[in-house]
Amino acid sequence: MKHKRVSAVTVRRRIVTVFLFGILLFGIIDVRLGYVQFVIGDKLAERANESWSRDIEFRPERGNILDESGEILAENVTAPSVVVVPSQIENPQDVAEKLASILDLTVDEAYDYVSQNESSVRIHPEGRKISEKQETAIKTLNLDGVYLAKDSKRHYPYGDDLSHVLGFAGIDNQGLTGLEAYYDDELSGEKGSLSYYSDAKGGRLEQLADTYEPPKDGSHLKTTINSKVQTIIERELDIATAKYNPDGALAIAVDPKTGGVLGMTSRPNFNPENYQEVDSDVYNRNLPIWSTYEPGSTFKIITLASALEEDQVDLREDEFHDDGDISVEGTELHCWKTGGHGHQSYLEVVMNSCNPGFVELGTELGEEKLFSYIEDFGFGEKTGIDLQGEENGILFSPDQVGPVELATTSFGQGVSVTPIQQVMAVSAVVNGGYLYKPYIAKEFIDPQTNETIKKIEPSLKRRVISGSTSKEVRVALEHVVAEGTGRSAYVDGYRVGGKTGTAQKVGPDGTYMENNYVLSFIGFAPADDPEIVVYVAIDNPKDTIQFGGQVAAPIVGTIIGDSLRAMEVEPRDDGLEKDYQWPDQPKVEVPDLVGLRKEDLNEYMTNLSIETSGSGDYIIDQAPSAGSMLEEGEKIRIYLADETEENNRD
Amino acid sequence: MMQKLKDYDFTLMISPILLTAFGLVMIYSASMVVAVVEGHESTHYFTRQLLWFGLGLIGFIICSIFPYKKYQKLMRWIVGIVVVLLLGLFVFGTTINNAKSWYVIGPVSFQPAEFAKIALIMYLASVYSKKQSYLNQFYSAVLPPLVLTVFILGLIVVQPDIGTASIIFLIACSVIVSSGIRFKHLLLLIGVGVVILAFAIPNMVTDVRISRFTGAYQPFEAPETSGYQLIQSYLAIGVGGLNGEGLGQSVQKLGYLMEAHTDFIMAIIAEELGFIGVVIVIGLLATIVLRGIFIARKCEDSFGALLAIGISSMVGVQAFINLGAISGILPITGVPLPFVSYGGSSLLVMLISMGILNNIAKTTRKNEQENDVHTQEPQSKLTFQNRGGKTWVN
Repeated sequence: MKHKRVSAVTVRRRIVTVFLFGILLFGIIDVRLGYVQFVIGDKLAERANESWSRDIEFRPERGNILDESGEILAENVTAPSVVVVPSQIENPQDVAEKLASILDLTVDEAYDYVSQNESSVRIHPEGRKISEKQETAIKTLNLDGVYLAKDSKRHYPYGDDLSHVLGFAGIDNQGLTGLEAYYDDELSGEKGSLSYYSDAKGGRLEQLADTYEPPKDGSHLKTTINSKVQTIIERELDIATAKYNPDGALAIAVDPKTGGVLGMTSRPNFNPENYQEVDSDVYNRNLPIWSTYEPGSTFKIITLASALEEDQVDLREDEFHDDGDISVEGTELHCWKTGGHGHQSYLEVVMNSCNPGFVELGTELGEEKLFSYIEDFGFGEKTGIDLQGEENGILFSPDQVGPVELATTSFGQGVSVTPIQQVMAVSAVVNGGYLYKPYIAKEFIDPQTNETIKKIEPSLKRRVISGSTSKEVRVALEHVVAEGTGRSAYVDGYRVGGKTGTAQKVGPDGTYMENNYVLSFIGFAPADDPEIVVYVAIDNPKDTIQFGGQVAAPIVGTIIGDSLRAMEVEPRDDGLEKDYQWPDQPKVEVPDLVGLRKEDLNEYMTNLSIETSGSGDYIIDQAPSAGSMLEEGEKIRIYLADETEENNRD
Repeated sequence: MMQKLKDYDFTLMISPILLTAFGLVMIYSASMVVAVVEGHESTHYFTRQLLWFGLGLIGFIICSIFPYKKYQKLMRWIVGIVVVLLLGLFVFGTTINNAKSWYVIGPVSFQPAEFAKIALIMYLASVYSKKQSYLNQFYSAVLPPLVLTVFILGLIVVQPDIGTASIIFLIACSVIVSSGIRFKHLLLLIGVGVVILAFAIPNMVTDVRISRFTGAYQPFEAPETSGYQLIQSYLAIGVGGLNGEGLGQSVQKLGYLMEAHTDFIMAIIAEELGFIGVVIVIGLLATIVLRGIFIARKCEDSFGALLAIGISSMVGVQAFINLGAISGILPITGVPLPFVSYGGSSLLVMLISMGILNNIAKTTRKNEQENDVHTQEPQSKLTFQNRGGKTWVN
């Protein structure tokens, strides 16, 4: 009896416990449901909406890229894509085999596409934007459930011209490199869509309203590129590449008055429509903005402009004696001409591109001033051109600069710059001192109304030198072309000014490489009012003497002459005449070159052009023979061998 | 007759009926699309559930009238039939969803495990109430009934139907706890249970079961596979908000949320009727459970008390496991929501259990009133006499 009583009380107590436990459980559930419903409910509702709505995409048309006159550089052409509707295909194996024979895919892959449990399947990427031949083949077969859908493909009418600048767009018309990538947002427009709500199988739900967003086509992009100038540049570089088989080559033409790029190209180049055929390094490296190297003598323009701006030198009155080398703190710096240029005015120092003369100019300016001008001219930082992949270049940091570094910088060694930096700096030197930011995109045009939506104005960074300094430099550089190292860039009637550059390349081990130079020339015209600045650099040309005046200058001359005529720039008749300035040396006596080493040739190269045959470092024969008289600029052919042998001489 | 009806617990009679009727409406709403997709009439699931409701109501009424104490005498038969039915599954069972848990006879299918629940409740209530006098004896009183319990549980585990087995296990626990066995023995049982589980769990772990756990606790890690169903449930609940989208307006039932009319019906209720709908359903379920426990407390007879506890636990545990799964606090095990979810066997067992509970309530109240009458009659007579006396005196 006692047991029972205790037990009954226990039972009741236990029941109360179960009761409280039950209330607790219902409480937990209620709190949890409330949490899901209210605390995270909004987020969940959003997700639910996404999962319920289906979008039918309406693709916008990608904008065209145009040159400054409206010439089309990139456009869209229609190319069909293959779409299959699996439910309409009665014999998937047969259809798969037929598709596999036309498109670039295996029977198994094709079978996967045609047997998918979807209402329609786009064969991607093998069946996207197919060729005309494939299109005809599919139309001929006329298979049930296989359709050709309209799709558009990027087309570049100029082929591989301007390829690095234009870049290319991928299979879904998304810009991947160049302008196509840089201005992808503007060019690609906005997708339109028809959104409707659906059940899990994709069926449309009538009770929820559809929404339609029309697509917005991309804007046309008008550039500063002049397709005529571009064509000339491309032609000249093609010729140079064929002739010299260089490791690389590049050319830039800009309008010095605005900073607008007229033309730009690199070798090797590629066709944007078949970019997959080349190595990614080829299309990713837009050499004019990507490559950095020692500029060599073209950099002397900066030293010259700085010295003139600081009134450090009078080109006609001050004189300099070059005996072949100059000693800076015990380091001997050589002139490129063995034995030196002797006694010269500073104008002649410029014309002869005499290294010791420039060392003198730079040393007189001093580290602080020279480097502040270098930075003011935009070296050491990106120019900000509207393309991807631009490099900075490298300058000596102030604490690294001693007298030797200052001296070598004065003639363009020990600094690393990009081609576009040089072009913009020289543009500033010759345009009255105004440093502009280079640019390519000029206008965005509404594709429907053809109205300009947005115009990009030239962007002035700063004024570096005065107008009178600028004029002095122009005169000096005109002399270089008319009478000095840049003679092969001379263009009759267009007052070309410019400067050669021969920069020894630094190898992977950090030392200068033997017989491996970047040969460059930077030129502008007309010298009284420059309309164009052109820079050409040829990397390690073969079968020639590696000297800028020899290889790059004539290319720049041709580009400038043809471009100014194409741009209908008025010819001048007040320029310096090429021949009149060398009346005492109308003919050149052919020197005896046999037995010399190839490197020794440098000093003969200014007034004769040299072609080589064979390979090796030693000259074993020459034509015409020593003592003959040649017109200036005429060719001497030399024969090379690995070593000089007495037998060969006889 | 009226007198008899008066003895019944009105709340306990009306709540299950209301819930089932509400469930029918929701089953129609949640299943009409699925039914058509599967090639039936849109009312396919609705009419079937309606038939089971009719059957269940008959069971409900019979059990409300049938004196619950007589189950004790029928105990052998009840347990015997359930064990035979469970064993018969090995031979005659049909496999649905990878578990051999069903008898399919023509258009009707039923799950003996559902009936095992109520049978085991009766068995435990009966045995422990008989042994009340010597319940402090572990070997003679506490242990023997557990052997049959474990045997039945084993038969269900091997189907395998871990969901139902765990429900039965939890119900058995609450009956045993409430039976009044000594605290010391309770601790011993818990200890043994923990050891057995420690050995059993590694053998029970399968990839499917692991994915159920990860699906419950990190659904967004695997939104296409193990997390899919819970995410869809979340979305339905999240969309519902306070007022819901309106009856019939669920989008999640259109193929996104699987089992919308069975295990996940609460998610659809949340989507269509919002938190208000949810609170009403949980409120009715809680009423039934708490009312059941209240009756157990009042019941003088320990068989009736334990039976009431068992039935309340059954409803409560199933509701908790179901709602826990849809709201992501428990793994998804496929347990229907009592009274509301589609499922004939479950509804029938629930309604029969409610009938039994009502009968316990009625009997308890009747006894109470009789006790009241016995204790009050002399007093009232006395009062009457006193009053009368005074009246007469005055």
